[in-house]
Amino acid sequence: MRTVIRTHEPPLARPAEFFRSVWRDLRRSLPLAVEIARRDIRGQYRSSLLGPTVIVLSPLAITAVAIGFRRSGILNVDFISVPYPLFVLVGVVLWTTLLDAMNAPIHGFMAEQRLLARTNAPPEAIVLGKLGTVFLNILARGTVLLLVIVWYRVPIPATAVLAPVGLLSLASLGMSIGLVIAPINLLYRDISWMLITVTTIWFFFSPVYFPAPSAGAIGAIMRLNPITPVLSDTRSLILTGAVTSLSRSLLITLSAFLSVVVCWLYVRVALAVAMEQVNE
Amino acid sequence: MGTSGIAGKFRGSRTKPEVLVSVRGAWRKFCHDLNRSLRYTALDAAQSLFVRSPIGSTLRPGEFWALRDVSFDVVRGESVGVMGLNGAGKSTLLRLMLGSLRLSRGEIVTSGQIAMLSEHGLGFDPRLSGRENVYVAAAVLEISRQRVDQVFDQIVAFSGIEEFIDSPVRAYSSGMRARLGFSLAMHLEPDILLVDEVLAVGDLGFQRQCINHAQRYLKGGGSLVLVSHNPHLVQFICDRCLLLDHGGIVYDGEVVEGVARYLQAARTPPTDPLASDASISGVPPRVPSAPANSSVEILDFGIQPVGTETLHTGESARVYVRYRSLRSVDIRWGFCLLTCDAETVITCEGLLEPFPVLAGDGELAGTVPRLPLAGGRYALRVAIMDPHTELPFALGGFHTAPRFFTVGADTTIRDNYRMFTHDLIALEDLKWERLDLGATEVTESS
Repeated sequence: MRTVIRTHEPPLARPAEFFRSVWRDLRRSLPLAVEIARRDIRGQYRSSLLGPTVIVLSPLAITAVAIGFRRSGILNVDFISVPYPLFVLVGVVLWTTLLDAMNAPIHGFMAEQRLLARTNAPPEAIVLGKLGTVFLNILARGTVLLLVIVWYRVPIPATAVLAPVGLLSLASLGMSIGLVIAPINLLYRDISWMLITVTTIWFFFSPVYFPAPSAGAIGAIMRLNPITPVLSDTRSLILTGAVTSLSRSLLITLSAFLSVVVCWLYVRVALAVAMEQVNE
Repeated sequence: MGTSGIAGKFRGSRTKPEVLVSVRGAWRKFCHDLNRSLRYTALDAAQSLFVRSPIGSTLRPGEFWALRDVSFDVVRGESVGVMGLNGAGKSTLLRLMLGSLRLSRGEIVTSGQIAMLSEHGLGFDPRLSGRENVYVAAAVLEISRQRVDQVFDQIVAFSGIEEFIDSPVRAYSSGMRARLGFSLAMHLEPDILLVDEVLAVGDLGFQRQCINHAQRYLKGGGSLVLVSHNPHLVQFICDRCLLLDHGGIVYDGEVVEGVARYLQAARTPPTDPLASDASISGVPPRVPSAPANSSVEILDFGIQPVGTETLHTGESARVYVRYRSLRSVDIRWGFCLLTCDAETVITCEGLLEPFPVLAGDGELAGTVPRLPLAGGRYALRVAIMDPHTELPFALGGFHTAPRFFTVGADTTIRDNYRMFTHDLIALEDLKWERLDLGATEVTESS
């Protein structure tokens, strides 16, 4: 029988007990995560107009805008070796993966406030459950992407099998950011609005619509953007097989994986405090 | 445990009571001001990442203690009623036990699965159907889908919402949510069930079912902590009562006594600046002077026990008026007993025959051989009248505060009922009878 001791001490006052409880909750969160994922997948389009088609319509629409910009001459992107629509679509699919992973904890904790406040459900279950939806979205968009690649008769290189590593790296980066913001978002409701502005700006400084320029201020900012090498290289793995910044991508990927673990532990501590504001 | 339940859940020792909840010196504070509260929460969250010593265990500006130094145990199979006026800290205590609130000081140890049943069921999501919520709630309690499948039909049948089980919970009435939540809790059988003022929302039939199932759950080894303002439920379900007042435990013991104390507290107006009660303060009330040109003035008045230390239902009581008369006059006098809000007159009694009083101070008194008032708090007014004009010489408690007094009652279920139903009169020595007008015994065939 599970015995739980709660005191007024901060969780990190007893690190051994803290890590034991993290591991215990992670294990016990799996059945609930499956239940939440099952429920979300069934119920997420219950009151929607477009239904599940929105998963693929959204990246297609963003791609269509880019094509329109390029055709009208607003965007001047000539130095790519693959069809431009394909270039953009791969970039959009990778970008939306990052965004979905970022929103999973932010929206998850907001949506499941009642469950967290009125039960002793582990927060891990909510994040893992929401990742189920993220995974399905990736599958749906990946399928559409595959169809578009076949449509353009672009040969898929063998390096494409490594693309999931890039996807996982971007998802980890997004998840880390989401985990940091999620508890703060429970306290201050304008955080999610600020996030929309920040991610919109971030989008235009990421190599989605165009590759990172090698010179100029925009190029310098884009090189500082941590997702630039990962996004560019993952796209290359899928479309051409020629990666350009492998060492930076690997470093960022490892950092992303590590940051998920650190941010997870941060959520364990910070969420318990932030949830009290919801209770009150 | 009932046959409908998931059998074999409880493994409690039969020899030594197994403590499932141990609360030791629990304190919890809140902040009045929202912005300040947000700031404190953000600060606490940041500090808890880097600080190992306890944080925030003292009050900061704007904070107050919602719970103070609460300690008690709950053993397996025990049901504890938690009563108290609004703001006493009952729900805070439950959330601390559940773990959704942090302690400001102290320690709480729980053993086994713990669930809280509130107005939101077992943490129901209003967007989801009743069916989906059942499976999510079971997953929180680490009960597999297969095990839930076995009892799902019984859960729905007991809740009585078969037609709506696939409708979103937001479309449910509060009674339907309570039924589904209670049914789920009784069939999933957590080791410890915390119930926050939810059973009373159901109809009487549902409440009867709740009592029966709760008793079966307790016999099977479950433990129940019931927060309720409903003395009926507490008396029938619980075998122990905690009474909270301003965040502290003021009584922990036998349930009938606890309910009686709660009802006494509930009947006492929380703020009554004009009232004074000699039994509490020992200071007599200010009595108005006699009307101008009146020859009689009331110095003091009140009601006091006869032969006992306190006023008590069925015991003798004496109403008295101390007066000062400037001359010898004929008077009549009487008194009124009123509800404690001084709005409803329970009875007015008076000595109809005029009688003379001499100049100087004196006392008038009337003895009630067996005080018929039910336990509770009441008010008293007195009047000394001119028998010739029927106009008052002096009034006590009409234009100023009446004299408030408390009548004690026995600590019995019957007396608790009287207080619960706001009885004013306690009829004693009733003769009850039953007449069988051609009735015959009918037994139910199997």
